[in-house]
Amino acid sequence: MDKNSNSYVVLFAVVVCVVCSAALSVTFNGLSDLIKANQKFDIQKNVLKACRLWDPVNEADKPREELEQLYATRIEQMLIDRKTAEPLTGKSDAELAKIRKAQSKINKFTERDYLDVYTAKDASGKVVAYCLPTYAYGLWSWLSGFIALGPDVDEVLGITYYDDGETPGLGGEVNNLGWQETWRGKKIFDDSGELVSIKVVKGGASPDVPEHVAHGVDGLSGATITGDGVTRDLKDNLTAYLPYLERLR
Amino acid sequence: MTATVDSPAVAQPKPKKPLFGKKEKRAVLDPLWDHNPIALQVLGICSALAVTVKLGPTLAMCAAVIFVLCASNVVVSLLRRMIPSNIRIIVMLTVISSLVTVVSLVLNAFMYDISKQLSVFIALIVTNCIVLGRAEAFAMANGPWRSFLDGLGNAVGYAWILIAVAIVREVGGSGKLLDMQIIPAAWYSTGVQDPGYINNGLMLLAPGAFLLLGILVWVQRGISGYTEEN
Repeated sequence: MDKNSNSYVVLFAVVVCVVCSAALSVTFNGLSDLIKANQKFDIQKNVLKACRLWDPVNEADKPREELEQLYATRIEQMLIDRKTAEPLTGKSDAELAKIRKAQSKINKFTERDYLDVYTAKDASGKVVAYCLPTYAYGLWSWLSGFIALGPDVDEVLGITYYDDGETPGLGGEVNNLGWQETWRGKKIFDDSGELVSIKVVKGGASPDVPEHVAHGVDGLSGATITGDGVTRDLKDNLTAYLPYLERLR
Repeated sequence: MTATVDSPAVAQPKPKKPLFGKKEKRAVLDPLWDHNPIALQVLGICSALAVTVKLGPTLAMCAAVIFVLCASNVVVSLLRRMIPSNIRIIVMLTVISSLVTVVSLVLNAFMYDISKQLSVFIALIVTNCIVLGRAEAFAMANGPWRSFLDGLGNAVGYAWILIAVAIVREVGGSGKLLDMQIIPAAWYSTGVQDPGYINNGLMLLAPGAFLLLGILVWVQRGISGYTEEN
């Protein structure tokens, strides 16, 4: 067969594609359970990190089993009704998974019926943090993260972004632990009890502006749009949680 | 009849090519120094700058590139007589991107944290000029064994430069190597007044990698005597 005839070229291309896709499917199927388990553990780690039950900087060497054990004993995950803030009870795990899947297709938290909440307890069983999932659209992609509030439901304990498709070194710096640390101690409500959320301030939060001291964090250089997305969507997320937060306060 | 025809040597198969002949040696050793893909051809710079902040992820990146480059060279070399020349680049890219996807899945399954640190740079091996360059320039014209050695040589030539840069950056930038403290904590400055040691923050940023790479290329070219043609 002539190597440059059209039919040979088409045939060759088809064979290459089929062989390559077959190889990829086999690899993916073989590894998908491991990858899913890794992703699940990564989310658990980030909840623990946001709630300050685990410090990745100073205790990075904790074995996986220990962290999974910590998560299982200290963290409780539940679904709440967005409008009434009532926890959803009496559902089987399979039903809950189905609801979560359906809800995850709605990007705006304010349009969802049910929202996820994680509560963290200390060793004596006292609630030390409320951890809320947060999603923000940056420049290229959705950022997934958690924001943990202290027992007063006002002060930020920790924030974490564990998944993003932003430019590494610019918007991708949302996963920089040093930057995430600057969120600690900021407040989401103002003195009159109004939700103001946290603002990522381009050019840096100024110590002279009272609003920045309580509710502002430094923006990331070269990541203005990512920062703006975080500011906008975090407020939107927290607004959706408002009935629940008000109830706790 | 001549003696040569009668001689039994003619009836026998061709003398076996040596496993490590002169050409094979050159295929491996040339890219390590004389034709180094980074220092001389200045290819693969993007990932060399991006993944060299710490040695750990750098080693994973190097292993990934070594695997992809060797495997893609062997596959392309095996197919070289079958690939129609007008779609050869597409075929090579299909092979390379499949291999990179496999590497990425394996990293996700077994080294999740490192794969998160490497973020897009594993996927970007697809566009690393060294990989496509070796497939087009070498594997299309040589047998699988020699192509494998050429891939190995080029990948290791790429890897040692990355590792050298990463060691300097991690020690200089955070005082650590493979996350272990190298510079004694007692040396560190404790405050503004204290004249102790301070980590060099430049090393953690991309410009630090640029400077280091520039110095490395300069030194390498100084020793190997390479100059750009006018």
